[in-house]
Amino acid sequence: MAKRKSPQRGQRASTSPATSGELARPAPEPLETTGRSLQPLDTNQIGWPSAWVRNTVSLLIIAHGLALIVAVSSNLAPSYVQGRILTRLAPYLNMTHQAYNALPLELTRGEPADFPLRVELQVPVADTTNGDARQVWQPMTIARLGDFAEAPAGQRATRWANVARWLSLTASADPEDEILSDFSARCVALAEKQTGQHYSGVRLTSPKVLSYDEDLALAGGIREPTDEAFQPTVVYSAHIVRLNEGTSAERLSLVPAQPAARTAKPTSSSEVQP
Amino acid sequence: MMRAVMVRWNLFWFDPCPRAALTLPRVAICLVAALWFASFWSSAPAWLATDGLLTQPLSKRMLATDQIAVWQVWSPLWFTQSASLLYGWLAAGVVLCIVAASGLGGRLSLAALLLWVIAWANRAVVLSGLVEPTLVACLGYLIVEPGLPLWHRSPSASSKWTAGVARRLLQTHCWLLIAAGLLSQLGGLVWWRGEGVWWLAAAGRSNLIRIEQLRGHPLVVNGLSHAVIVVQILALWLLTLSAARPLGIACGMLVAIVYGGVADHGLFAALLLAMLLSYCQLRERGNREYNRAPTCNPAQSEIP
Repeated sequence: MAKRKSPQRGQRASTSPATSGELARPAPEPLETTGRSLQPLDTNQIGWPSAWVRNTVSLLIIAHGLALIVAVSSNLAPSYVQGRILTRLAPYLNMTHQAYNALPLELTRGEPADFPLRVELQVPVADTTNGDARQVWQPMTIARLGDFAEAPAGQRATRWANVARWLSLTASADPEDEILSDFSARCVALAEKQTGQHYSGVRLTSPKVLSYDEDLALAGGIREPTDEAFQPTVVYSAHIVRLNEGTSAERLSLVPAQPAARTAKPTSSSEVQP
Repeated sequence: MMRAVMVRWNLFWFDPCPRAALTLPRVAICLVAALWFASFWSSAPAWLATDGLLTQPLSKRMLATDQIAVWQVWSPLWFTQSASLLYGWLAAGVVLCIVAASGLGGRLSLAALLLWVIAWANRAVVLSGLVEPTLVACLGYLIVEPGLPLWHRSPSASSKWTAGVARRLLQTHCWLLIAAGLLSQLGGLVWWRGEGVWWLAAAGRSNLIRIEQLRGHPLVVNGLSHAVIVVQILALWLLTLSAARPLGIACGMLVAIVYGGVADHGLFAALLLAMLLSYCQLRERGNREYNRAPTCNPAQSEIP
């Protein structure tokens, strides 16, 4: 805890250790805290840097502080003015990694960007009843990175939450952003490399996170878990197309799954080597 | 009035402070940096290597989507995707952290560590969380005054204005982060409604609390959520009062527990704790200088 001190003590040369003789001196009367009584401290305070150094450092502190305040205050939804200022400050903030872009300072707002995002891969499974193969979705598992089968609700203590937030915000701005398909393609390629299995589809899903009231209704039997509202949200879904399959030049690409009424051409991912 | 403001400003920032006051925060911050590097060890190739999820072209496109110029996120790691080099970078980072924590090399080792951290953080910018920008800022502040080497026998040997500036920067940044978190929480409805802790647990983002523990206990849900807000308000207030600073530090520790336990920002919580050390006073025997030097005016000690 900072002790209150008499100003005269502060005026002493603090760059040298206090001697016992100095300490034995009686303490002078403390100054008052009014503006006028502060004046004696203003000039050449012992231990302070020279005036030009103080002015320069003060300007740097103010500039850094303002940049920091703008970065922190506009981390999720910047206003027009904040956006303009951020554009000017971007070189400083980005080069020093001080940009708080969309970081969850609030911990949670109960919005989709705060919810987990899960990668699911589609695999053919033999149907024992009629001998046909059917497609099922299973959570992706990548060694040393993430196991969505083991932790379906969320990947704690990993960087996955940061990436998921980034992808969720991208999807909310543009559900067909190429970033989603390219990232999904990388997931498929890495999963196939590790498991040796071939997948036919990939999707990013956000499991339904229940509010307290919804959970209460579900637990009380007022609502059914099969309700549409309780199903996971599919953020992105795509079929996997293979080129030069079975050769060393095999490539895979993703073609987004289209809703039935859709007319625009979907954007495929870049080709990646499985 | 302007003159009084300037005098108080100068007192706040430039009053000399013992260099020893920065030693403990430096050690703690460097250890957090070491943990931060180590936390990437198992997953670095899966994220950033040639076959990883965030290859260079994809990472650059993600930055472009966020309207971040690639030259601004400078890093030598943009030129390599070798898993061995990634491991080498992490290992060297941990060594640098230990060297900087010991005080060897002073500002030079801290500057090298700062560049090392920024280079990694910029390459993995998509993976960045709350801890990265704060860690970079803390290391930057420590370059202003790194404190004394660990083997220094007389921690009260000297006071310098640079130590005062570095200490104030750490304190102010810590205070600002807590304030920003609080204001962000109050900007959303869930914390006002006392459901913040529920949403964290329900989304699987809480290290300590499971949804099963909260189910059917609305008082617990509301009480914990409101307590999170109250603790932050108390921390911000008490840290500014010199007489109540130990209580402020205790509340600050609770805030860190919220970030690390109630949520899942463990490294950020550890860094907050390290920054809180800058509020602590030294109590070494014979260190009378420290207890006089930091503030010259009683009114100044009211400033955070």
